[in-house]
Amino acid sequence: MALNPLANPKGVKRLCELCQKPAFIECLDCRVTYYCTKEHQGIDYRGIHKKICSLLIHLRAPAPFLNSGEDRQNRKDEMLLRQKQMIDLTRTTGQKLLFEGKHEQAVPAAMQALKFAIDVYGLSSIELVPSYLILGEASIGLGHLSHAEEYLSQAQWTVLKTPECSHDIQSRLHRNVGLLYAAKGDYPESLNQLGNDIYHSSEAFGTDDIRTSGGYFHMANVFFRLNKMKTADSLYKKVTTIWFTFLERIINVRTRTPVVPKGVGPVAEEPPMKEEVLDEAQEAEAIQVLNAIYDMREQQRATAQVMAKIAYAVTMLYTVLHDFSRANSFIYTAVKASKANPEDELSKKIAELARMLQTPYTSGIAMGMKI
Amino acid sequence: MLNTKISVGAKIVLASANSATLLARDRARKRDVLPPIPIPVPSKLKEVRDRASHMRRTWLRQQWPKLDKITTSKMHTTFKNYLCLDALQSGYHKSFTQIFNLINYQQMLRLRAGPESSMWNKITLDNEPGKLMVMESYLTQGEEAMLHGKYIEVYSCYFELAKYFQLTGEGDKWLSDYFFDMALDTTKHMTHDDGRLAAEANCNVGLALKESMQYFEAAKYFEKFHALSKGKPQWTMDDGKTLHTEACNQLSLVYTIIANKFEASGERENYRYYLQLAYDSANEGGDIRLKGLASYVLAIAFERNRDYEEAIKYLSVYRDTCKLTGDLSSLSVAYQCMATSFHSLGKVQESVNHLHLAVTVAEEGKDERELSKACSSLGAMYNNLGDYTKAVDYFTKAYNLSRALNHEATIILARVFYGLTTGHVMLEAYRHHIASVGNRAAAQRLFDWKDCRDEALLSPDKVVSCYEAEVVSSSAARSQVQAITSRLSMDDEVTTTETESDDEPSTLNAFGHAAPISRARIQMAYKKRQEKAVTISEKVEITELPPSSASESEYSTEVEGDGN
Repeated sequence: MALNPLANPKGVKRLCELCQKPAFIECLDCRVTYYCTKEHQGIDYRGIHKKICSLLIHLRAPAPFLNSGEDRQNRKDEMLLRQKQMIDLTRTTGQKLLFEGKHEQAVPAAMQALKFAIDVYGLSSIELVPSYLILGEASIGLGHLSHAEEYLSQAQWTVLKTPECSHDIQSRLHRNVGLLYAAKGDYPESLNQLGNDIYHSSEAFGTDDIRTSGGYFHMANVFFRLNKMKTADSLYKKVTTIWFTFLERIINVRTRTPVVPKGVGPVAEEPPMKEEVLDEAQEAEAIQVLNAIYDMREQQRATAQVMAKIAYAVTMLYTVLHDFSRANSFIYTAVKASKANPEDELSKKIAELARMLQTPYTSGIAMGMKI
Repeated sequence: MLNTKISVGAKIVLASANSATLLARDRARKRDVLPPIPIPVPSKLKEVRDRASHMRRTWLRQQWPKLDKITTSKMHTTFKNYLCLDALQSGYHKSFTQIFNLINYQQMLRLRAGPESSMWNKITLDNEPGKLMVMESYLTQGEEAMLHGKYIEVYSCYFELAKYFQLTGEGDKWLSDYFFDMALDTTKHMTHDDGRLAAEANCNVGLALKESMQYFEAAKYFEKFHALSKGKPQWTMDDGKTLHTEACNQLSLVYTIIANKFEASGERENYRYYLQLAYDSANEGGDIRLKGLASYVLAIAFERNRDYEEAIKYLSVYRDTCKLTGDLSSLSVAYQCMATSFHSLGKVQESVNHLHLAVTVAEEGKDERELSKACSSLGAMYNNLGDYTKAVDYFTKAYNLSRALNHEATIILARVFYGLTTGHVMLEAYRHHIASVGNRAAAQRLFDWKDCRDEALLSPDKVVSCYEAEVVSSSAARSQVQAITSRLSMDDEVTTTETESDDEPSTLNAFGHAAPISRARIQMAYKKRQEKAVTISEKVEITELPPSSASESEYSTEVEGDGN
């Protein structure tokens, strides 16, 4: 609905979500979000507002008058909880959009995350760093390198001021700074930063974790651009192997046949094996990384064994994500590539997966869909 | 105004103090002395001061060493961080992974061992820059080679690292083992070489496991090594031996150790099985000493299991190897063992022959200990065969040798055996004496005494009456007596085989026949004397028997004196 800035109550300034200019329209669903133009509303809606519209109502509603101190305290706690949930949601959405390559849409999400983080934690807290990092990465993606540098240096400064900063955050910071340098073309510096990223990530998660694999992937890209093919190749192989083992573990958990109890009588229930899950951002990352490697291998016309491995990895990824149509398209390539050495263990696994995918009913059960 | 003046004054003081310290530091660095700050005139104070400080600042900045960004960042972080970065920046992610995981593994081991373990006193890998740098340099070299597919170079890098960590001390054995394992892994990728490195790698891993006392796993690797080096006589080591012989020897050693373990836990079958394997490998390897030892131990095992034929077979192998090496004392041992086996099989003549050979060889080899043992065994053989004079000869030899060697236990044994056989020598005479006693009553008394071993029956007047009675008896009684004496002689043999030594009262009391036996000998000697003095028809004049204890000692020394 149209808003007139003059009609606002005294002292109240309704500002646009994105540009902070006086707002002329509001969102009709929640009525607490304001925009200056329809374009900005469109951008925000596509970016993040669709997901958080209903949640914003609770957060931005004017404070009701509560009788007792207890009630007020409860409300405060509730608000804090909601804000934290909001931060998490916006952050993951932002990350996911980044991995999908939708940098422009990632910006509003990241800005929301930043705003809420500032509200909750204050201006110079370490918790702001991930939001800055997402903003930085989005700016790099959009090509605004100076903005990116600003955001990233703010993040760097915050990290520097916090000596007990966790390795996780440090690794992410270094990764983004490395990407920035790579975008600027300063490859040695970029390699330095990415090396730091891998080191911190290994300290936090281990050298063969999927979270470290991102660092290896970006480093491989840099070496690729520097034309050091052998190093790049070995790094890509490492990334493939990491994802391969991870996805294989998930599929094994899902397709394992339960132990048939011998004899009659009460049998202790087998404790359910915990399945490792991918959150949305990691899913998007996996899709981006594995597809990129697959395309690169196709272009390079790599050896059959290498092709088989990457195709199998992609297939596994899509089966894990329950996207069977895409899985089928990739399994075909895998089977073709594995025909080169049929006695290989890898080929046997490919054959098995192909068989499983062909029967949709069994594959459904196998892939853990509840019927 | 005042404020500024004071502050200026303070600043000048500070500046001069600074300059003093700077002067001192520069003197230490043997550089040019800083130009002193001129005391400024109040009107131009600010300008002059600014210019002066600016000059000084630029001068100072020139003096500091030029550090680039990398070196400064090196100072900010731990050495481990710096090293990992170094590796990663050049793209050597595998080296990074290995170093990182090794450091973490050590820390995890430490944590797992608990707060009380001694591992907390050891310096961990991430605090030892020297070792880490060596590791990094070799690993990056290896990775570079791996990128180009030069697996031989990769292998040599791992090998050098393993050797380096073998030399750095006890605590780094795990690193050395790890790098040997990695070297073995790389050999799996090598397709173009002749497989020699694979064999060597297996050998190294086997040796490392053997040192960690994991003998079964070590045996597995040695077997692989053996299989790989089997048909390749051209692979030689520095000292000229082929890899194949080395494999056989190592296998033999490991199997012997495993066999000993089984023996300690009492599993005899496994013990023999592994000893057999050890012998087979030693035989294949051709090292004479090892082959000899293996055959000897195997033969002893068979003997214990009463498999005498097999024992003899392997002992003959041992004998041959001893002949080849010229080890005469071991040869003597071989002959002795063969003799025991033959004896157990019942082939007495063979046994005696071998013992003779043992004696000659021991004499040749001047091994007194073996000689004494051989003589002792030979004496025992003759004792059993009934050839008591020869037995006595050999036992005297043995006794003399043992006295020369001054070994308490052997002396005692030799003495006992010597006494035994001298007793046996006298047995014939004793039998003869008993048989020729015409006096039936006397013989009867002797039997009665033997049955109850009572002192009272020994009184001389009874002896006299016995003789008197004998005069009256008939010849039929004599034949009866003869039958009885044959029984007696057998009885006596039994009693004289019991140990008789006056120096060992404790053992003899167990048998309880010490005094009676010596008394029997006294009787015997006494009878001898009596015979000399008396004819059957004449009455005998018995002289007083000397008191028993004195007589015992007198007669026993006399008897022994006869023997000596």
